[in-house]
This record gives sequence, C-alpha cells and structure tokens, in this order.
Amino acid sequence: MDWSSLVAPKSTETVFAEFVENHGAGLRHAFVARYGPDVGADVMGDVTEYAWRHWRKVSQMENPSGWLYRVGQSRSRRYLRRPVRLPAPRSESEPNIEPELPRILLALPNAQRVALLLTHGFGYTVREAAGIIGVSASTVQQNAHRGLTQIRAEMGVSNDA
Amino acid sequence: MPDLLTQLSDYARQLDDETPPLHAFATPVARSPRRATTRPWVVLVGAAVAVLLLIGVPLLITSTWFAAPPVQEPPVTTVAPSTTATTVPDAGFEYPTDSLCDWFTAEDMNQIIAAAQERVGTGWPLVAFEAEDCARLAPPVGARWDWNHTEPKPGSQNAVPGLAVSLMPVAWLGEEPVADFVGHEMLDESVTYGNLHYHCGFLDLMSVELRVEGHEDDVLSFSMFLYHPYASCEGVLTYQFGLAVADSMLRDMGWVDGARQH
Repeated sequence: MDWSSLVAPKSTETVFAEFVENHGAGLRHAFVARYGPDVGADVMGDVTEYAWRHWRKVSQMENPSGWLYRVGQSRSRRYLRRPVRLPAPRSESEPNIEPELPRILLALPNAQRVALLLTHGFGYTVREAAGIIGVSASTVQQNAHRGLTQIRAEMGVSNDA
Repeated sequence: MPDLLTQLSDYARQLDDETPPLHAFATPVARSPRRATTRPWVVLVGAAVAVLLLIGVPLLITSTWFAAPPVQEPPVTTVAPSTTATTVPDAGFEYPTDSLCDWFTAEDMNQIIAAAQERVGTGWPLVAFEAEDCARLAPPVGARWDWNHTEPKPGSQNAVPGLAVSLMPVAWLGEEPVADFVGHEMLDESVTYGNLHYHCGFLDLMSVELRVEGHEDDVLSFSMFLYHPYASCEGVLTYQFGLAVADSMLRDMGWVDGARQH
C-alpha cells in the first residue's frame, strides 16, 4: 500500500500534534507545579482535550499556551475536592533532597511555586516560563525570587548553600 | 545536602517522573450530515439484523463464525455484535440529524472496544459510559475525570461528536502504519475515503474517514489520539486499534451489504 498517497502533508491532526509537542511539556510542568502530579495530569488532560475541541480558535492565538494555562485553572475547579499534593522526596533515588521541601513548596503562594519550579526546577528560562503561563517575564522573575527567598528562610539558609 | 537550586532541580525531575501518564482524548466519531433521506432498505436490513441478533446471539457467541479470522494472525474476535436494540436504528433514524449516539450505547461501545482490544492484543482498562451530550466516553477504569463535550459548529464536517472513545495512555505506538486491513473484514481501500492520517510523536493520532459503498455521501469519520509524555514510537497499536474499532462499528451498523463483498 502506498501510504504516502493517504497521508495528508499537514492535516489538522498533524498540526495539532506539533502544537502539543511544542507546548505540551511546558504546560504539563506548569500544571504539575501548580496542582501536583495527580491533579496536574488530569488538568493537562482536560486542557489538551479542550484545545482539540477548540483548535480553530486556539490555533489563531498569539500565545495559546498562556491561554490554555488559564483554561486549566478554570477546569481545575472540578478537582477542588482533591488536595494539591506534592510527593515526598524519594529516599532511594533522591537522598539529597530536604524532606521538608514539598511542604515548604506547598506553603508558597501558587504563583510563586509555579514560577519557582518552572525556572529553577524544570529549567525554563524566565521568558519561556512567562510564555507558558501567560504572564510577563518580570512577574515570573519576581515570583520566583520571592519563592526562593521564602524557601531559604524556611530552611534556614541564607544563600544557595 | 546539596544547594537549594540543585534540590529544586532534582525534585522537579522526581515530579516529572511521578506525574501519571497524561490522558488520551476525544475520539469524535462523526458523520457528515449530508443526506436528507432515509433509505428504506437500510431500515429493512437493520430490522433483519435485529431479528437475527435476538434469535441467534446465543449461538453466535459460541460459534464465532462472524469473527473474521485474520489471514495471517490468529487473533479472533469472540465478542458478539451488540445485542442492544439501539444497535439497529429504528425506522426513525435520520442520517442528517441523528448521530452515532443514536446507534451505539455505552454497552455497545464496551463490546466494540473489547473486540478491538482482543484483535490487537491490548488490555487497556476501558469502560464506556454515556455522557450528557451525545458521546460515549471510555476512560480508564477508576479515572477521576470526564469531559464537557461541546456541540460542534455547524458545517464542520469532522466535528460532530457522535461518539467518543478515550484511550488510556499506554506504551506507545508506531512509526509507520505498517498494519494493513488484514483481519478487518469491513475495511479495505475501497471504503477508506478522503484521508487516513497517522501521526506518531509526542501525541499519537489516527484519523480515518470511511465511506461505504451505497453510502458514498455519508462519511464516517473516526479519530483518536493518545497522549503520553514518556512514550516513544514502538508499535502501531493506535492504528491497529482504530481499524479494529472502525471495523466493528461498521459491522454492527449493518453495512455489510454495502461494503466489500466477501
């Protein structure tokens, strides 16, 4: 069978797949940072489905990722009964993580936790993180800095030590 | 203890690892509402199929004559065609306005999914249920989510949500659709129409438009996609599963007479 004759060069599905491939990882990290792995994954699922359903509109957006992050925030309401949870550090594979780190992260304001984990955790630049969640770079930088300062205070360290 | 930034990085990696596989999504199965008339012979064939099902299902279940054993591979469908009354639409079924929700119940979809999984050798824990707005969803057992499907915009050929199947993210799918129509009695090139998309990557997609002889203006569009952040392309399960589902649906819809003759 000549598959090339059956596969359209740029179908809507392909374009959407490329979009998810390009933007999905950042959104997924943002939702995990905001809601934890369990709820974050569900929210990401809802958002991807929503993006597919509204692809005509989403594809025209200047920053679809930022808009979808807000869609996720809206959709997260259905999971209100499920607490935001961050897992304890794995003692076997991550023995050098302060056990209190998840609790301290959860105590941060949501925006600070998301900004902090996106930039210092998942390794996005400030500009990239700003694009993912649809805010200004200065907002991300400020929130990340405040979050980092708060964590240092909680952990009793004055610098990166 | 490492510095705080290293801890954050390590902990983020752990979060990444522990994030459950992200969900698969809508599988709109849509018909293009083009035809305004209901063909009488369709009703007659449907009624005949209904009678056959009611009388012969116990025998069919044990005989599996309908299983259409593949030419090369051994998988045999042992799930009977749907036995619910809605499998065969009544005389009031209107192609232009009715959707596949008028044809398949959640129970029907469970049987179709089971049959498809048996064919392709998957064991995804899917259970279909009826959503509010004409959709059949099949999330993983125990899934804590559902969707709010919205009605499509008029004129969108492939957006009519007649039926939806959600697939649990599984070990990933194929690089190329090496599978063909072997084992799918209802399918061959003559009933594929328009396009057959398959995309393998971060998001796995498959979309098939089927056009059965005698129903050239009634396109059955079927698509699904899986989303799995950890996946890599290792098989063609989505493609095979999609073919099997489409095959079963066409079979249940009584389009045998209009499809390729065997």
